[in-house]
Amino acid sequence: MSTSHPVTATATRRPQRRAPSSGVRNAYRVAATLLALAMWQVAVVSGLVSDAAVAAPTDIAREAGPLLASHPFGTALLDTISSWSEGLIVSLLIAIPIGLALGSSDLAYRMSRFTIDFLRTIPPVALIPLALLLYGATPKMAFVLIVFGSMWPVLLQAMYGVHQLDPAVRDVARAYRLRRLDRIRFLILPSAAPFVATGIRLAATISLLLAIGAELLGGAPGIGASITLQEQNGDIPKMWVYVVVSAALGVILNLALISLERRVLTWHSAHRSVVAA
Amino acid sequence: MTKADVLTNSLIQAKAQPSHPILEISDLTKSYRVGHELRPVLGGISLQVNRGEFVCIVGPSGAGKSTLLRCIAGLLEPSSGSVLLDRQPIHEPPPKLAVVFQDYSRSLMPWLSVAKNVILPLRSRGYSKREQIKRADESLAAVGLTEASSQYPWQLSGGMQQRVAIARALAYEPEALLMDEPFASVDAQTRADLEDLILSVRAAFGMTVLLVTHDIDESVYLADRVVVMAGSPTGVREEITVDLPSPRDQVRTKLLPRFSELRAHVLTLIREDRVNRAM
Amino acid sequence: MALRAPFRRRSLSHRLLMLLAEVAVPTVAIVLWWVLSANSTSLYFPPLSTIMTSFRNIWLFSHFGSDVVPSLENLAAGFAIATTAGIVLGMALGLLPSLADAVAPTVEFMRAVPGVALLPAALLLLGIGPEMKISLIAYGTVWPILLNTIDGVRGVDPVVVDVASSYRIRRQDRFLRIILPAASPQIVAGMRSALSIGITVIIFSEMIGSTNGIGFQILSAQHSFAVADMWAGIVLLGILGYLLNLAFRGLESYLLRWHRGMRQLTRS
Repeated sequence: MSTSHPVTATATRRPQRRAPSSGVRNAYRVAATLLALAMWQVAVVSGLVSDAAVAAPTDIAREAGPLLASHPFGTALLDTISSWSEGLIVSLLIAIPIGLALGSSDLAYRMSRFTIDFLRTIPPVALIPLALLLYGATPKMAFVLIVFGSMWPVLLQAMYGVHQLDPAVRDVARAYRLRRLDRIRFLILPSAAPFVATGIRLAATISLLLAIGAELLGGAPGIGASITLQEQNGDIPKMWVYVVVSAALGVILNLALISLERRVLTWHSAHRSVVAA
Repeated sequence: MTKADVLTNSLIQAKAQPSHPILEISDLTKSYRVGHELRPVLGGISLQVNRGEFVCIVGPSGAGKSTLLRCIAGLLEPSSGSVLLDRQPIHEPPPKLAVVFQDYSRSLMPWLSVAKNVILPLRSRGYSKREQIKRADESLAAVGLTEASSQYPWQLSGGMQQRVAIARALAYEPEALLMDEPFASVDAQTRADLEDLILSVRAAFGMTVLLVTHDIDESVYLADRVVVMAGSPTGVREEITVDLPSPRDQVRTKLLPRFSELRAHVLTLIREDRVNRAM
Repeated sequence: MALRAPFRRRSLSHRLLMLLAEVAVPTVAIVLWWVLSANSTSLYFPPLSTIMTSFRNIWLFSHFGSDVVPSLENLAAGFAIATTAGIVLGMALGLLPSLADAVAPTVEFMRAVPGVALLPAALLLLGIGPEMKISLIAYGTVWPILLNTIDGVRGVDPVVVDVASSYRIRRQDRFLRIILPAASPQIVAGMRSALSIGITVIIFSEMIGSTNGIGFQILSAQHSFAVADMWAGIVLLGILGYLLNLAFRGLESYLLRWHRGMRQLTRS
């Protein structure tokens, strides 16, 4: 990474500090993380935070080893990942085409916006009781919940992505009399792509949260259900191993998506933070 | 141009003038670290500005004129050399200097009204509320923007926004005004109006002005002295005294043969420098 | 001026037509629901008329004070804590980039913990009262606000920073009148995300071991197979969520009217 400053000095802060090298930065990060873990450890060990609720990092680490290698863990992990992925894929398959279609017509966009906005604000967790009635504590319950809960952001993003196409660009397409298929391929899809990408990222995150929510609150098999199980067994350290795993899943997912997005949308990386209003 | 109200700040003229220059820049250098290299931008600049003088710094784009101004303003630490304001060394922005930046749309706070923008620096000075409002009103009147005081900057045209920035600098009551290509982003007609504005304001308040520009005509029109920067690293190529009569006028002054001579002289210096750089 | 879609020349009748189009779909949808479910004998999808009766009985207004109000109070309290902490810490971290970078892995990890996953621990730690809910809401909602504040502070225009520096603007004005307003569009965007997270958290935090709240009512209706009641709760949440978002948008347009004004001008 270059530490150069623009020769035409625009706004340089004084005094001029050289950006620390990545080695130093990583050292700070490790130190800060260790400090945080140490604070957590002290909080539990000293009794500030009850160890009947929160396990100390050392205990979690100790339990993690055997637990992560165990069969129940593998099953739970697989359950969560399959609910998540199946639900996400179906949700995308439904939401993206519909969203693109609705966004391409100004009238359709207007007509559907209110309804979608309204349905989007219903927290999917509130539908867990309904889903439980319909499907019981099964993977199917989680699947339905995930599809319903995660399709809204993608839908909206896809709609918005098409809708926001600069009219000047549309005029160019018309002036050059581009065929409909070409217009879709070279104009609409690329310009909507960053919005859809953001929508996918949001949907993926929501899907994971809903998977765990359906498992923990609804009893579908998976990591969330394991958390409840360990809590009922009174095995707090094991419970926290699962909590940490759920966070790790989220982090890994996020990193994977960002790097994927970056690769696919290198020419649009500045648009990564576009979200529909 | 409307006649500006004279603030009691004409103490500059009333008081006995001290003999030393208000700004003394000695052997100022500035280098930037690029990777492992040290790239020099400014090489040993020495310059003096006397009280009440209007000095224009001209040079080709990218020469480091803004860098120099920022060092003088205390916003940038020079690599070596010193800047003295009224014999005091500058290490951080001093209270007696006010800066007008080139990008007016970004230097004014869009969440504050015009009047509040002008008042903002005054809050740190311990004036009473009433005093702050009074000073702001006077400054806005001096730049002809009294009716705009409750509007927001983004509701105004570019020229008007720059006037607000000038009013803000005036209200700050500096001893010297630093301007970084202040009229580069406005159209030619507005630029002429703003040039005349700054001349009249300077006459009314007796202020020292140091203005950086790449516009040669502007530099000759406005200045008592033009400092041409050139070379690589950039240094003072020549200082030219502008012996045109005051008050300046956009039509009459620019018709004078002396104006063309001075202009040609500056242009030649800059052209030479461009050729030298290309070699 | 470039040729643009002539949206300036809308007549009143055109605008009314547009308004009609916007309410057409929801109206038709509701009517369809009513009609199609009118003779429903399904256990899980009762007639809309039955649901509306339950809605009237429960939420207007007998259970309003005992369930809606506590839910909203807890949400507000948790949200307020998260906003305060998020903005204060966000400003500090935004101004100290090395510190922000150092704590970034920890923050990212903590943010990634799903609020649901912490529910059992929260119950064990804090019991079933409002403290547990408020803490969980605060935990869940602080991250978007914190991260957006950091971004907002970092993104303050360097020219503005120069102005603050060269005019020697005093520290409290620098924070409250320059940095905070400059970052406010970002901060408010973060608060908007936080709001929807907060609504989710309050609902699920009432689903285990709670004795009141909207989430509790929905769940207990399900447990006692009062399906229409359960649906009534869902409908309530839809309406409430929409109203909260509307209120938030109102607040946003008040706080950020200067920002909107600016953007409108640059767009035209």
